[in-house]
Amino acid sequence: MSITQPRPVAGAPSAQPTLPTQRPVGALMKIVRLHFADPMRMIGVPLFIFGSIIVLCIVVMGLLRSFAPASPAELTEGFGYNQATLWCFAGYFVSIGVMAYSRTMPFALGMGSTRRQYFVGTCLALLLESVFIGVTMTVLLALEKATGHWFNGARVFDVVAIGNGSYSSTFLMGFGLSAAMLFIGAMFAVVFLRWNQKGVIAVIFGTVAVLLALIWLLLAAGVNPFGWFEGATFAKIALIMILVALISATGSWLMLRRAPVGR
Amino acid sequence: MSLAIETTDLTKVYRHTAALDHVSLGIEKNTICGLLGRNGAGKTTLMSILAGQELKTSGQARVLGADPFENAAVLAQLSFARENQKYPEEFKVSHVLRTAPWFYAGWDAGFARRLIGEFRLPLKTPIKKLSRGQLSAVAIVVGLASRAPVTFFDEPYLGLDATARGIFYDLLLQDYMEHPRTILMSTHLIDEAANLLEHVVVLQDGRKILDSSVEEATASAFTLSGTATAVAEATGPRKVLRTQALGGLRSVTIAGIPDERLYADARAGGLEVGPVSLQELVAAHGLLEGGEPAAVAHPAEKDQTEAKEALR
Repeated sequence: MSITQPRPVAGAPSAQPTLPTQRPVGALMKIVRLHFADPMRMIGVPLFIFGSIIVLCIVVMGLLRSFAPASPAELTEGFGYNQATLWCFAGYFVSIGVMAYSRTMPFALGMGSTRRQYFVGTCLALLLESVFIGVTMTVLLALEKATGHWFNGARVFDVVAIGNGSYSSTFLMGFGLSAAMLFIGAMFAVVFLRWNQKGVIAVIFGTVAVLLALIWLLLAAGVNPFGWFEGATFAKIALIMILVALISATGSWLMLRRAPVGR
Repeated sequence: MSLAIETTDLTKVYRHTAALDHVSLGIEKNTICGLLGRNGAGKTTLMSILAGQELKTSGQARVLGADPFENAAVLAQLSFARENQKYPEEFKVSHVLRTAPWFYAGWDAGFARRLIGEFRLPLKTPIKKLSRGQLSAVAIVVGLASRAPVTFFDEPYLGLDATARGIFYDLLLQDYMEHPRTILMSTHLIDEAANLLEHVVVLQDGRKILDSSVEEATASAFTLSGTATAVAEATGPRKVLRTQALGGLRSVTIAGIPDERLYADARAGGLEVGPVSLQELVAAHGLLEGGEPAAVAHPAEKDQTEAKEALR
């Protein structure tokens, strides 16, 4: 062993001053920044997914225009039912939500963050990400309209599923869907931290059971739940997704308070 | 001198087993403390509770005078890299270097860069592709460069070769001398770390079996070695903690301080009286044998221990 220095005496007076509790970066902001520290994950990959979907739709439209027995106008109208945008990032966003608690949280807590700071900072980061997706989809919708649906009539964002060409509806749908997926992913990661795989399965079954019971109750009472969606449909769908995100976030916090971290 | 870490009857029970069983200990501020024990002894559980990552079942845990759980003021002064520390997905070492300073008022970027160089860590390789030794080095970089007033190292040497371990011990001690702080390090490599440690806590099956300064601990026993018969004669009724035999030679670890009579007997029998090393002492407390401490009260037990030692 190469250590030759004398061992310092325990209890020797220390030159160390009282350490400030002031942190170099705000307790919440550092968590928000931590989530965006790797810009590929939060910005690059979603943009890449949207780019890929646009290219894919343009190629599919090109193929259809060459080989399908339909006029370009009919094809463009049919593309209005394209749901690619709705589903293309859902899975990825669930995984981002999961990793926020399974990978990033042990790192932050190891460096002295509290659960509360981490939770609030993470909620802010996920909301920022949802705004980013809402804005990106709205901008891409404008670009799509300006380019005559990507120069060959391929409709990707100007579609029925996310707002029928309305900017506000598209923003709300993008924001709501992102928030729901991110916060659902986060909640399942917290369930896993607290109760492992068994907990995840129980929560999935529990959620399905509650939803089925709710629908059954509404139908038995003669209420048509789908009737409520008439008028301002997209705002209402977005509202439900935001509620889902809110419930997931609340559940996450309640479970997180006593969950072991980092094992 | 105030305590940086203090526990009273700290207990953690998982479903059927007690990972910590009424552990009471105190570690003074600005000391390097070794946390020793076999795998599963409760070392990581203890550090996790002290770092606010796990909840205790009962008892008290205090870090810098307060319960650390969800205590922002306490946790802000703490650094804890687990042996199996997780990092954000896709993070590279460069990301860690960029983000860690946000968490520590005392972060020393120059020292971090120096450590990266000493351990030859690649900045641009994703952390999940690093080797075991490189992962340990990342944890060491964060733990040392953070200059956190309370720093936990959880078996920080895993996968590191002897040279890298030497670098770690040297830098740890050097930096500690310049920036005193409380360091709690769990380790199996007692001999290697012995020169660093001022205080030791030994855990076995969740129970604390030793908690003292290294000086006091090693002064509490001595070794006597030579031919088996001479050793047996000189030992007399003294309490033998551990016996090692090789052919006709024997070395015993004896509790207490050697007296004039023993020195005289040793001279007469050509025996050597020596200080006990931390490693030997911990072994004598039964840590390495497993099960109960090998203190020998009855001849039958003594023979059994000897037989075990001979087999080893």
